[in-house]
Amino acid sequence: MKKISRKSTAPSSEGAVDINFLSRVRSKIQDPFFWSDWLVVVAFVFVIAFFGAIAPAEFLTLWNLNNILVAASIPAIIAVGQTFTVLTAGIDLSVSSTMTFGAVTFGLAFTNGWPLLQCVLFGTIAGTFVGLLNGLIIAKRKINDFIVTLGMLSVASGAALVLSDGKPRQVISESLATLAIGDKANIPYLMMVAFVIVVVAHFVLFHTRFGTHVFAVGGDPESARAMGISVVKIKIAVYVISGALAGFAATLAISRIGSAEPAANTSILLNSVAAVVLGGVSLFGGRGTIFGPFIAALLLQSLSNGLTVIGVAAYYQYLSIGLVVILSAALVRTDK
Amino acid sequence: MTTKPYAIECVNIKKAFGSVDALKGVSMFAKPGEVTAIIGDNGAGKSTLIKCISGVYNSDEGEIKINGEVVEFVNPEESRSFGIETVYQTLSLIEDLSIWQNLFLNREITKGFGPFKILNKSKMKEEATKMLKNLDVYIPSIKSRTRRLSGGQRQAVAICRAAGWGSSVVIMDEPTAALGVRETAKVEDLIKRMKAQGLAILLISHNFDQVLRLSDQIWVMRQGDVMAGLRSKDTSGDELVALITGAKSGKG
Amino acid sequence: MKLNRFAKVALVAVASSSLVIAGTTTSNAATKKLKSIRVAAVVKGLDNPFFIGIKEGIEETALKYGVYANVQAAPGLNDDIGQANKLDSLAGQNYDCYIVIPISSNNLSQAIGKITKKKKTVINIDSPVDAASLKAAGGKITSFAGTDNFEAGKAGGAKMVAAIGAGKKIGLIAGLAGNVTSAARVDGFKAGAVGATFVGPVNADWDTTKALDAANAMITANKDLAGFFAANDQMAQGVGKAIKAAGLKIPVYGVDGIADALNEVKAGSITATISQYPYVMGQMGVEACIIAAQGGKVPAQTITPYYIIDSANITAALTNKSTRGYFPNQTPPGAYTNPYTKLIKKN
Ligand SMILES: Nc1ncnc2c1ncn2[C@@H]1O[C@H](COP(=O)(O)OP(=O)(O)OP(=O)(O)O)[C@@H](O)[C@H]1O
Ligand SMILES: [Mg+2]
Repeated sequence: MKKISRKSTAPSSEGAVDINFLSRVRSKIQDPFFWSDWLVVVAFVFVIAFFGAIAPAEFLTLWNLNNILVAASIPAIIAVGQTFTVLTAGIDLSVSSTMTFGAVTFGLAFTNGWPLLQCVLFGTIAGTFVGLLNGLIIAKRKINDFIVTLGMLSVASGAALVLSDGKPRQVISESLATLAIGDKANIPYLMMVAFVIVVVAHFVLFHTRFGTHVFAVGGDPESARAMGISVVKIKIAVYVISGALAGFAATLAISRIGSAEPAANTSILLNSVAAVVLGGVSLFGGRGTIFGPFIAALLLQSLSNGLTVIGVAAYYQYLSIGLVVILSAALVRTDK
Repeated sequence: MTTKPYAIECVNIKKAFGSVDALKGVSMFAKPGEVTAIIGDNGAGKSTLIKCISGVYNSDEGEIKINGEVVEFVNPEESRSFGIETVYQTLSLIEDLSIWQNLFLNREITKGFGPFKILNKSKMKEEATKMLKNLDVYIPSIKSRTRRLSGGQRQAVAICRAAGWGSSVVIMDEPTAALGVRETAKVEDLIKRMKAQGLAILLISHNFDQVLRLSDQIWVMRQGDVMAGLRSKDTSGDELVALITGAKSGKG
Repeated sequence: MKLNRFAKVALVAVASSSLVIAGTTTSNAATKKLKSIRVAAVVKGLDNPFFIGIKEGIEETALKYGVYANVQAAPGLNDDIGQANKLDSLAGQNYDCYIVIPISSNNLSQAIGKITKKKKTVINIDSPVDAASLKAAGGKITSFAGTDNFEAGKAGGAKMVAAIGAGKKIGLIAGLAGNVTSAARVDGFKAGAVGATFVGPVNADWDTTKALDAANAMITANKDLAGFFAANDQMAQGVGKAIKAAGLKIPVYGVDGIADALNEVKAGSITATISQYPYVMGQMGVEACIIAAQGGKVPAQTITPYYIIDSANITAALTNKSTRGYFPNQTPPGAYTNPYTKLIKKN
């Protein structure tokens, strides 16, 4: 998980500094994990350079880069939540419908005249609740995460349809519109929100006991338990995080499309899993970063945007994005 | 000595996995300042017994006393907080965490307060280096992933972790099984040192020479039962073999 | 499916009629050459022949006039945000005009608002953009071209009564409960079938098998049924099977004009399908774009044609393929009004 960028500045007591450093660089380069961590960055730079080279006037404009940042904001937040579940060797297939459920509850609150912040809170709580259910069933009842969240995918979208009666609810709000289209210093507000979440998540994962325990549970649940870590609590927590972030992301989605839509958007799920895999998080758990999936979310949106900008027909876009995901998954496959 | 309670005392411990009776009513004890060995064939129930003591398993029946106090550990965290550290046969190291992270797993040092507690990484690395030095273990870098360590290095790290927490009881399940001669000697050294410090050591080993060399008390297990409890100085390798294989009955 | 298609057309009509006065939008200087006109289109997911028909219409019409067209689709079913991202990506580019079919009535409003700020034209086809959200986002739609499901149903009702005579009993099969498109079609049919009495409507969820079961039950309970109307072709196919099984000789009408239904009309198992023309929608979208780019005045709203295809015109419909030949029945086999074509300056 640790990156080479964190090379220590204090010279080690044994041996000359430069030899130490060189050997460390060599061992890093030979370490397959190093490449799975950095592949996404390399790929991202490559994608930007590629489209920048063939369509500089269209792709590398402030306007367009802004669009990419806006487009990547929601996938980035969902990918952060997904990263937590995958780090424990789990997966949350219900993220898209959890987000829809959050959006519908937000919409209900909004049409009932609640203040905006309470609507946001309500939607987030609704998502958290779905995540809690996932976590309780997976961790306590020890039922396969794939099955539970697949079921929840259906349950949450059903609940969203029932609650909304299948009808979208319009949410027209000045503040939300500002959130959706505003920016500061060319950074869209939406991306700022996403980035704050990314930074906080990184901090939680790498600078708190909880974060270490997430890695431990994902890497080896038996050993984690033997060391006194409550595997059940950690598992519940990661699904709660995923659900809460999906519920919160509903606010961003509503701000962008101006209504709470009752139909689940499965692209959200595919995108989050793709970002997590591309971002170098091991599907077997215990290994990964937050910035990896974040860059991957940016990469996926850049790819989609670039292909649109250079006028690649829709059919080929599906093909190429799918290929990129599979290819990079094959490249980073260093697990076990 | 006699007035002091046993560090560990098990009374009639039973544990079944489905239809397998792994422990059929085990009673034994371990005294502080002594090395207590448990020996027995594969599948005799040795690991199961220590897992019952450390709270990984909950026994079906029976009583466990630590320093005279009846305890019921429902998870390993409770036994750890009671000063019992265990080196499991599988070592319980997380492969993808670094060595220092493993040494401090679930014992992380933090700074700050309340919900803003953050890991004090530099302190943990510093302490980790000390812990390894105490055991005289050579590890190239405490920052490397545990996955990269050799079998012996792993075992050393796991023992180091158990020894490093100012515990009163250290349980070790075949701690030298994968070690070379030099490393084995070091671990035995460490065990002696811990004993000298007054800790109770519970040692599982298949190496009779080692057992006779290190231990004060030996419990022989067969098929989920304790066959005999002997003072080490009063027995021999031949007697132990006879007890383990059932050629000699210790109970009668 | 084409959900909500006509739900808010009235709203849009009100909104866009005021827009058309401002009408002609951009183009400041002399009339633009056809060759230099660039059109971008964002349609719904291409998992439905209907939207592929629209795509064909856009691409072939662009080819015909020599304008450039880039057709993009939502990345996935229900991917409302992904669709907005697509439009955003295109909005910064050098296009004169954007053709949009929103997945939901709101999801493209903000992106349209951004385009309007750039003083570019937006043409809305098929599913209308909601007027209120458009206004909130500061967006403007120059022209809307879409079908009127009520009118299509109404024409079918009139035709059936003319065929079977007044005062007869007609069975009605609807789509999903609460679906706006289905309701408009069924209500239109009832309004057109003057003097008839009705059984149902029963919801068969757009599904052939469910429609077959529903029709069976209706026939058993009502020996005197003189005809059936189904809100789409798939359901009409099911009804056709039920009629045949009961040994009856009564008409069944469907809606849409999908290829399968046309074949069944030819075979006689479906009497007629009230056909809609996605290809024509695409065509009108491009033509509206050209008019705007040329600085002409674009009609604010156009109802795209529907046409009843029965044994009288089925041969013509089946042979009426697009240049690329993907679908039969691309354009109506008879006359229809297209207010756009005549406004284009050939240059
Ligand atoms: N989790 C478990 N589930 C089912 N059976 C188990 C489990 N753990 C141990 N057993 C069974 O209980 C019995 C005792 O096993 P245990 O691991 O305690 O033996 P051991 O004395 O430690 O053997 P070894 O010397 O090979 O380590 C064996 O028959 C084993 O198969
Ligand atoms: Mg064992």
